Amino acid sequence: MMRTLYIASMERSSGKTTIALALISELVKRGVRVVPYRPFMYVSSGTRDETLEIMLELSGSKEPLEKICPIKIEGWAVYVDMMRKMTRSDILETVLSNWRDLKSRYDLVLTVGYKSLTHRILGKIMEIDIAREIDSKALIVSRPGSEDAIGDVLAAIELAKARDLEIIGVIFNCVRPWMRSVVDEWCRMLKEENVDVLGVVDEYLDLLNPSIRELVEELQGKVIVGHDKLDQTYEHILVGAMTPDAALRYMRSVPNKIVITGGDRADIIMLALETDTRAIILTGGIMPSPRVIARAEERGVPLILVNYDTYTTISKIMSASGKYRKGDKRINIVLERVTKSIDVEKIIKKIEEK
Amino acid sequence: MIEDRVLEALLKPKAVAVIGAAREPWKVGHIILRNIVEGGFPGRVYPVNPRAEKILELKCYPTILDVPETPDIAIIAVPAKIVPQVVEQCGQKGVPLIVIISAGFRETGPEGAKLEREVVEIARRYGSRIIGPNCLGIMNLDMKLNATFASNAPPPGPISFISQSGAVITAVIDLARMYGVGFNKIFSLGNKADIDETDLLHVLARDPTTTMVLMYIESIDRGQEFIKTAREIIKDKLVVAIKAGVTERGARAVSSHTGSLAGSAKVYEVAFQQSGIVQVRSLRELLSFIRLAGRYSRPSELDKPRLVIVTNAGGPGIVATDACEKAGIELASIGPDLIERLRQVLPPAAALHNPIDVLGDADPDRYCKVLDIVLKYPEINSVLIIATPQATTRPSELAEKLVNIVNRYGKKIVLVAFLGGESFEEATRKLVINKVPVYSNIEDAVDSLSVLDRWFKLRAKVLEYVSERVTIFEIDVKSVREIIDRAKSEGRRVLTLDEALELVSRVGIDVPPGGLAKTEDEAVQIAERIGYPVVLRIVSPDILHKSDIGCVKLNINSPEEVRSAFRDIMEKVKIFAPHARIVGVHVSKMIKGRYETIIGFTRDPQFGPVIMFGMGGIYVELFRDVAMRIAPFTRLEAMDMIYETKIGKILMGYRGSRPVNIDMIVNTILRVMSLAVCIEDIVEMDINPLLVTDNAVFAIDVKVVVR
Repeated sequence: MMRTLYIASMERSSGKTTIALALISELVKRGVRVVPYRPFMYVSSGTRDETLEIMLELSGSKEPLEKICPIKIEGWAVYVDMMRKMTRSDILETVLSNWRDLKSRYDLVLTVGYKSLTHRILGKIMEIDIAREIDSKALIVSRPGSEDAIGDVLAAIELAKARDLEIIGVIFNCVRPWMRSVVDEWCRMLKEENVDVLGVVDEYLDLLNPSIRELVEELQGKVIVGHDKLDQTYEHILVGAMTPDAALRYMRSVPNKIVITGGDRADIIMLALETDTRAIILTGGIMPSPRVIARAEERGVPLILVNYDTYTTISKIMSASGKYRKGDKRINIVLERVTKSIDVEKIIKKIEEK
Repeated sequence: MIEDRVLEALLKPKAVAVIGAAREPWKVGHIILRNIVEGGFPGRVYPVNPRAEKILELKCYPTILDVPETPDIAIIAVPAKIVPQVVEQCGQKGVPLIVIISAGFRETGPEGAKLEREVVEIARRYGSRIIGPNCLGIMNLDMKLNATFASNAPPPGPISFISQSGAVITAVIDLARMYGVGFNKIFSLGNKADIDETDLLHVLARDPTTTMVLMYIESIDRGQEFIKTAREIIKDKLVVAIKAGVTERGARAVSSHTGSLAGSAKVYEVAFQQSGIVQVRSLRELLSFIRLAGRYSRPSELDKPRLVIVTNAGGPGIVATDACEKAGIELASIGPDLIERLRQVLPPAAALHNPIDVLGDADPDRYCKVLDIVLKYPEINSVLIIATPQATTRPSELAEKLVNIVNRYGKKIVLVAFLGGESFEEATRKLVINKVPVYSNIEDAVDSLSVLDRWFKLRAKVLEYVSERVTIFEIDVKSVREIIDRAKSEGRRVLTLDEALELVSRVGIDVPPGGLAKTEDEAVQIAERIGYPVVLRIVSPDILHKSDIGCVKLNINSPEEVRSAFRDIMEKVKIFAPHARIVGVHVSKMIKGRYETIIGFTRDPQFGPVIMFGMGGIYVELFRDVAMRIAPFTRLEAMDMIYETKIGKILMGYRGSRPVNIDMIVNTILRVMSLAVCIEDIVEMDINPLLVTDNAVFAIDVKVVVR
């Protein structure tokens, strides 16, 4: 078996990586020699992206990173420069040569696209053409943000047909609860178009929250107490800005939370310590009183002092969420959830079909 | 629980050791020893200091273990880090009570807190109890013991004082000395590592020499025990308390200062009321009351005030009347016979009704004649005398004569308000020396009397409550727990609407017929089964305020309306709560009631379940027509709760409206209370609205938060 599957998305952050990881882990279980391939990657400078390493590790392959990701651009200046320098054939040649090499040594080259099938990489070559050039079948991953998102999916399918690229099916990823009935409707529409829906995956972003330790890193925070409790994760974020009377009920309603408040809000801190709280982030660099610190220590809840204001703190926490880190135990939990919702057998069958 | 030997040590100490007694007169360890010696403590005093032979003529001992007997109390004033070692020795020696003056514990942070826990653990091992650390010390003036580092002590008397602030103690002492108010026991709580306000209230309840208790409180840790203990002591002793940190900022300051929850001001108010403790709003009120307490310190020998105001000016008399009315103090009515007798001693222009205006030209004799008549009258037990400086007032002479009168009618309360300044300086001094409560304004005088007045009223209520048995309905704990456990197993703290409705129906509260629909078709089926009109509501653990975002649809009358309402609800979820988990849509029979009420509870971290009843619906927060009680309570208290609210008065029949069956509301309150008492996992619950019809109540919407 010498095959290539192109995982294409319809938008950024649609969860290609997650679906790819799920497929890799399932294929490895079935004894398939699979290698991840990400021909083009662009990250902002200074951000850490360990998804390639994680994919490699999961596949068991020992390929160098340059091999599985031949065009990796870091920072917008480099991007602009490359846009100027690289021609269509430069891109295609790079992608093809590495692909050929991988293809010769593995059962399946699991290729992960960049942005969307209709996107032209560096303004030069459409992803749809790359997918076709590397002789692959494509799987569309869509994370529907609104009820008209199906229009984009159908357009991509129509274009693929015209360019002779086989679409094996669609996975709707990270579906919010209220979208569920809309997605049911889309599934009917796709069936009419003879396109298979290979999975509908419910939202799982809550599983991807960083650990308290990662938050401390992200926020460059100072841990006042609770150094031994940093490896816990959390489910919810709660901003403690309300009156204490209202706060108690609110805090009780939300389990496994981090509370963001000011160091001078001793009342809120006490209520947070009284309820199910994984960490308290104190904004504005205000140190609480010694007795409050003592209480937090007794309750085993980390107090983290940060110099940002509440808004900046939350923005930074949000950007830290949803990223995969090496050695991350949460990956397994996510993959377990995802694989349950996708039809792995059918996908394999479709890849193998002539 | 305070053990007998600790009680004995607090009430009748015979021997005291001061560990860390210092030679240097400026050191705390020296000041305490000096206070004990100079205070004339008749028992044995043992200074402990390994480097001194003698301090203040007393033989020193290297350690407590070398002291020839086991002292009742050990006062510790050594550096924090050696306190564990010293406490260990006290334990070995068998000292029942250890008072730790030393600072450097919880108030310094986690290290200090650890040290504090260590110290308490050591003491526990030996069965010793601790007051403090980080406190001013204790006084037992009945036993002439001043084991504090305060610079002065008040004269002995029957008033005791428990305070979470050492500085408030020193201020009260200073004032007490000025007004000659006698104190009995004074306890500085410090960090409350072991013994707390409840323990000490328990002690004072067993102290025959204490007749009144003052409290300065920042937080109460064991609310339920506190109320129980208070209900016991207030039967024959007046307890007055100030709770600091009743505003949002104040509460924040308390948390920061004590490292504990300040607690809800409203809950404290309710707790004091249920305890029979008079809560004062300001230190000023507390300090004013001390002046009254100095003379009238045996409240159980007095009666609820029935007051007459005697004034030499019309205006201030009216001001005083207003103040009394506001405070709820009963103004005695002057009977015809009394009027007749007053007429004989007063000029024709004088006002003979309460307030009695003796007119601006009244001299001291006229005041006294009137007082003599009034105080003889059995229906009148207290008099507020108001004097403004007039040509004939002759303040100094008036003061002297008043002292005579006051002494003569010992069991009746006389308060004096001298409205003025300079003219009354000497007169005021004379009254102060003779311990006649004197004030420079009317409000302070009325506030003081109001403390006493409120105690009588609260005590009467509490005595009535404690004579009845608490009603706890039997709850099928297992079937309720089933619902809670399911939610918890899914990682939820908030029950969904269908779960919450099921829960209340399992404790015997009626809910309208209905069911949960996952799809439009199911919603129509349920509606057809229960009959129109119906109500559709979103069921989601993440949406708390359903009606605010349009996820409640009322008065739905046909299958088509059901479908369109279902779709509309989903649309609203998409807009307002896109991440919410959706369980389905609850379809229930729409019931028309006469009134919307609310019954709920919150589990207060300090006082336990606080049950609430009031006007329900969406305007609860706006009208705030609610009454609260800390559980458990009696049927009588539940009735009082209802009657405290405006909606309660309406339910009982207001202006000719048909009264509803109040018993069913009382029973619902008691059922909710029983649930709160029996199932500790429920931390918040609201039935709002609880719809009231003539002969039934229905829980329409229920919120339940578990832990």
